[in-house]
Amino acid sequence: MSLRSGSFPPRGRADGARRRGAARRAAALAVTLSLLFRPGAAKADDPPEGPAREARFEWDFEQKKLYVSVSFRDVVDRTIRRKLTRGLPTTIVLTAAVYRAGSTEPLSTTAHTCKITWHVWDEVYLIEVVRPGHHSNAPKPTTTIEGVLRRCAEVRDLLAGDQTQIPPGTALYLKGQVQVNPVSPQVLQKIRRWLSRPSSTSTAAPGDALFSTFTGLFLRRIGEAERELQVTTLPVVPGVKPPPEKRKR
Amino acid sequence: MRRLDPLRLEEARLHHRALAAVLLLSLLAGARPAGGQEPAPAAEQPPTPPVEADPTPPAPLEAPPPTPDRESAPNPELEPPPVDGGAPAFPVLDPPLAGSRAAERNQVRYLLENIEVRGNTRTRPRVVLRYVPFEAGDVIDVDDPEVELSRYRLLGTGFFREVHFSLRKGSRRGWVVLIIEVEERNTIVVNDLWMGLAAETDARGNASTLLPYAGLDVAETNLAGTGITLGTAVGLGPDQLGLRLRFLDPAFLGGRWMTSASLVYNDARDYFGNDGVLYWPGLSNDVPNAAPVAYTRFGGSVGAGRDLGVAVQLWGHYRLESVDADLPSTASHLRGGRREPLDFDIVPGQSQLSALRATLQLDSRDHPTLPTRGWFATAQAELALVPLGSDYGYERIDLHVSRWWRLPWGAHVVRLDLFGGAIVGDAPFFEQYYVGDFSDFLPDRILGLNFDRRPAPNFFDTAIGEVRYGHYALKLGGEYRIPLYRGQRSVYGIDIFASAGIFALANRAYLERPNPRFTGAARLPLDLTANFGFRMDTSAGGFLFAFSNVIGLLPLREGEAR
Repeated sequence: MSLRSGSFPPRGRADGARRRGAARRAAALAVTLSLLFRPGAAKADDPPEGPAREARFEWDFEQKKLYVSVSFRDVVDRTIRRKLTRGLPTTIVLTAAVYRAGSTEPLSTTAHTCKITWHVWDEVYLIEVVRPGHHSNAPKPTTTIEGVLRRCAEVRDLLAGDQTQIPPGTALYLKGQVQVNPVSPQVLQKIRRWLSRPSSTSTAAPGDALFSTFTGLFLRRIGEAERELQVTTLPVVPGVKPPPEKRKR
Repeated sequence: MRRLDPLRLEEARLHHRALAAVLLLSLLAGARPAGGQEPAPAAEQPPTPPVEADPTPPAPLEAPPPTPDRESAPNPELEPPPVDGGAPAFPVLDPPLAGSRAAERNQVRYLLENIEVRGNTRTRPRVVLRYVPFEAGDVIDVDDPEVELSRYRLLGTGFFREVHFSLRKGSRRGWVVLIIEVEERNTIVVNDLWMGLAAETDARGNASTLLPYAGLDVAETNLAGTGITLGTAVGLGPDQLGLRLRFLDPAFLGGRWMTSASLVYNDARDYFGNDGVLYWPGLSNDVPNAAPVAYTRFGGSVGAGRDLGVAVQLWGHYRLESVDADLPSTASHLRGGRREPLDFDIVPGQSQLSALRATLQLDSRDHPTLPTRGWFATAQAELALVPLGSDYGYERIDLHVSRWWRLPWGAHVVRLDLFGGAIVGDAPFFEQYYVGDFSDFLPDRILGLNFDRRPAPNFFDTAIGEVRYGHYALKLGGEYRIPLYRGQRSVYGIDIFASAGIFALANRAYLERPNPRFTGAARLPLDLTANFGFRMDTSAGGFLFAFSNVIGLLPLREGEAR
């Protein structure tokens, strides 16, 4: 049997050392984290940029418009190629801006979208292209993958700007990105709203660590697009589009 | 390959449905083949010539005008994302959106003959189909956003590494089979890993002996391919052990009800008293100036819930626990120079806890780990049932509301938090509000275990210094977050954050017998909390690297008793 009263142990050197150790550990952790998360490391997950590619810029002085032609066939890799025959639509979107050589201020923007649907019964690719100044009312069929690449993985004479935006005679380059099956903000929002209902995921509830785990797995898959490619072209002074009669020859 | 429905479907029924669908769609479209003939069955349509030089487009099964739903639905294809992920500096030339109606006229539709699930070795086909809103006999539009959304839903289960949808020819022209190919992933996941240092307190309220603790929470999230989660967790500290086993079925008997169950076991200790603690008899491994309580808890809960809307969920739980407590038969401590008996808020020896709990939850956040806008609110009521054998009769009501705003500069995010709770009756101390759950400078409880023995830092020198457990709690807090990084592979986002708040935690006994040392506003048991660190959203889950707990181990005021 014992009746104890509380005793107050004096704080000795050991306690002080522990506190100093904790402070040192906190400082070391902060330094480590700051090194890990420095801005340079933040670029690790950006889409691959690759070398600058050739492009052709041409002015149509009759219409005072600038056209660009560039290829980005490398966006269709083996996985995307396989997806093209799945019978469900695959969309390839180019969004780009035109810059003056040596500048990072965009002069104009342009876009090109291409939806490819393999018709499982007719065994053709149905291609719908939407681009500035051109709205297809009916899908164009093609039976070969080469036809798909030609229409969707390269742009020819894509309207890129006009003389009110781009001064003629200026060396220009194009910079943008190509996305395969980009997820629109609306769809992304819908998905995330759905994610907030964990009962539908068979996983966990908010506040549970499981919840963020599966959200992470989920978001890893959707991202912004199934495949992304940065496109930058070499600077070049635009040529002049030949007049229509010459083009015919 | 697993075929869900044998190909020998009820041919007559399917054929009837197909004809009805074709006829209906034809009427809707008002389309007629060239020559004004009656619409031919899809099987009789001539194939498109395999030429590429702008041949006539092959006729899809049908091309009805867009339904109102389709017109209002967003068309992701026609909305080019901005360059570099941000809003374009100026409008895109001649936006392709103008062609949306034309694009919608070119729908490709088939009659769905069957759905096949492939690649699933553990997950049952019915679990996959739970997330697919189509069935044999439906007309499937290849542009229907539900197709892609279903794929995302399957990925969101966490059961699969990859999910691919494709169509292949069915047994008749115009009929297709939807193929769902999945690649299963390891569904045993680590949910939580805790490691930290708790501390004993010396006479001045500062941290003295550091106590390491650790915990691990793992779960199989697709038990035997049924979609059921079975998880276990363990928490360990000096003389303490916590175990938990839990179960969640998100679709009980394939229906809309969710069910959950859990088993808990705690072999725990806690320490009571503020100053000059005297008690009898004592336990082994006692710490100075604190009356020890050793207790075990064993029991479990069962619950059922369902969605009331897109973002609202309702749960009900029943909990039954057996508690065995070993505590001093007599104990007292000094408060304001007076010696007072210590109340442990637990029944000595064997006791039962029997309680009902209802939880209503609203979650409209745009992201669960790094939200930028929306609400997260829970209202919870718990009623301990004395008539059902509970030795603890109490009612507890909690309300927790959080709101996020995205600021116009730099995508910074602000959050405001409000928590309020009250307990009426005789709740055991482990069901009361604990100061570590409100102060970031102290470790939270893990699986119900409390490893830390310190009071709150007490920045304002109020009565909070003598409160570790309370019956009334209120907290108002805010957080400012700055995005540092966004990625798409293993690390999706890293934000740096700073948070601060003020909280009050009151113990009913101390309110009834206030400490004469505190007068005026100091009688209000208030304290400040703050934190800073990093929030990370990764493929392994959400992580928080925060520094307030380390700061909490440092003495605030050297040599001053609190």
